[in-house]
Amino acid sequence: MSGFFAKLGEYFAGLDMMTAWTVLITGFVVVFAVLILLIAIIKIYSTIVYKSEQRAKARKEKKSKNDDDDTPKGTGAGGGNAASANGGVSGEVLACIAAAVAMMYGDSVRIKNIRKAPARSAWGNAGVRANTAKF
Amino acid sequence: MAIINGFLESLVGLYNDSGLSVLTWQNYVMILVSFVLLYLAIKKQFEPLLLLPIAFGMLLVNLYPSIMDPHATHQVLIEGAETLEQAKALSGGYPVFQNPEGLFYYNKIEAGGLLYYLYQGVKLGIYPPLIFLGIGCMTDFGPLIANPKSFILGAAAQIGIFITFIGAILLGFTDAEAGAIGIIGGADGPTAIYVTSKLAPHLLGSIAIAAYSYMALVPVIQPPIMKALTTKKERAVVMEQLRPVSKLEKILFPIVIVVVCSILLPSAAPLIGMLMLGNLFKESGVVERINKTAQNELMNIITIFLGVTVGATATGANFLKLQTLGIILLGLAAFCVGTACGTLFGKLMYWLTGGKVNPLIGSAGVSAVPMAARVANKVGQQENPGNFLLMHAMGPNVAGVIGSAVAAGVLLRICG
Repeated sequence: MSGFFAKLGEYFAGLDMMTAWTVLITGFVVVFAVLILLIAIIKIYSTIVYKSEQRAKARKEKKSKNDDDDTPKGTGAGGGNAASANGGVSGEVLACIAAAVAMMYGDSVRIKNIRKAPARSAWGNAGVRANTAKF
Repeated sequence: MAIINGFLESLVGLYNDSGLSVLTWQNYVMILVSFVLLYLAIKKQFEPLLLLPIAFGMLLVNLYPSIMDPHATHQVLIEGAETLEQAKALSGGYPVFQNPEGLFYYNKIEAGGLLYYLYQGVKLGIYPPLIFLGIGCMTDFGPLIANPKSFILGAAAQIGIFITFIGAILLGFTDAEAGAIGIIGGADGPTAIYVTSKLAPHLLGSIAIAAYSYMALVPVIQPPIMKALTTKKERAVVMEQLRPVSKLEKILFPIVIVVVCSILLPSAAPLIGMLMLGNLFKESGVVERINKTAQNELMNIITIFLGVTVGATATGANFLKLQTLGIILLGLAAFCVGTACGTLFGKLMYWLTGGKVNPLIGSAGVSAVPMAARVANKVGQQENPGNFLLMHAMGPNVAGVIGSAVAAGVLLRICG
């Protein structure tokens, strides 16, 4: 039995445990340090982007409000500021929507805003698949 | 009589060239192993996109080992040539040279096997970063940007890599081999192949097969560990909805990550750089054609080459060793420790946030996108069917991809 432990001791003595511990500690510290640094950087830039976007949004809303006040009422379905606030919808689609609204509700209504409905994200789709696919 | 002799000689020649004479018992065992892997890929659908080409590459190389032979140069004596002009005329266009005895020779270059040439993409570390390019095009980092704390869980799940490194050293593997084995715990196929091709190319077949098998077995391996380390109450935690992430944040993310990671850890730059380039293709929205090509055609082509050639490294002589068993067991340990560490850090975040974080999402830190996140979602729904953790688990899941690339950079730097 003592011979076995002696051999085991010899085996472990021959191993390069110094490098092993170096890798463990370096790996642990570096991976955490880099990813924690990324947390800080993402938080900082997210805050900056969020604030600048909020400012831009506020400016846009203010401008839109001013435009609304300047626009005479009853300009028809296609009038007003719909084109300026088309949310990335092309002119042709905008015209179709305006025509459809005019057809349904008449000339007395005014389109204030047209926006694309938010599409489902890739992970949203993955979620739907996850809950509908056979697991 | 001469015709019969010629016929018999032809038959003997054919027999000598055939697998019946060339193949060893190890090759036949590997052929059987490849059949098992083909069965798992086709019937059980275990990571079929990679397991099927890997299994077929393994089958091919064990049926016809020369398919992985490198090109060879033979010196052929030009008989009857007395002058250089005569030698050139008889050489068939090959370069001619004269030895000190005055005999003329030409160098005949014999082409290598098909898979040898395709394998250069693995050997030179080209395919894994290109796969990462495609993955980047398909990955939505939104949940990670919305909740950057997920990075902690992505980092925690990488601990398995470094603990397994110690285990591999204790079992007598070299530093480089231990690094390649440990990276299985990252549960990221391209990263495992990239690191192994640089540190221990002779273990590529066994490590790739172990990595992809465990990734396919995520729904089997992870839930018992997750349940053992969490309470019912913790698993039932419903997390707050993530904030919407703007397009600008999503565009800035890949640029910021690649700058920070490449400056701090240049050896991780090929993997993270390609991942983030792909993501920028997607998020910028201005290169839709390139985005589609990278995530479809390019990625599919590279997947075929990568799978077949990695499988072709699993020859009988390489694979049927006691060492392979050690790799498979250590790989499993790496995976389990990674899952456990991720879950335990999830638990820590649960306590620190006063019960706002469901610890199950920590297990998704072991990459394996999106399977590990789906598993976290599924286990959470077993306690509370109305609880949808998928989006929350995607944060640590994609953080795990970045974390395993960073861990790969550390291993390459120290062991390479």
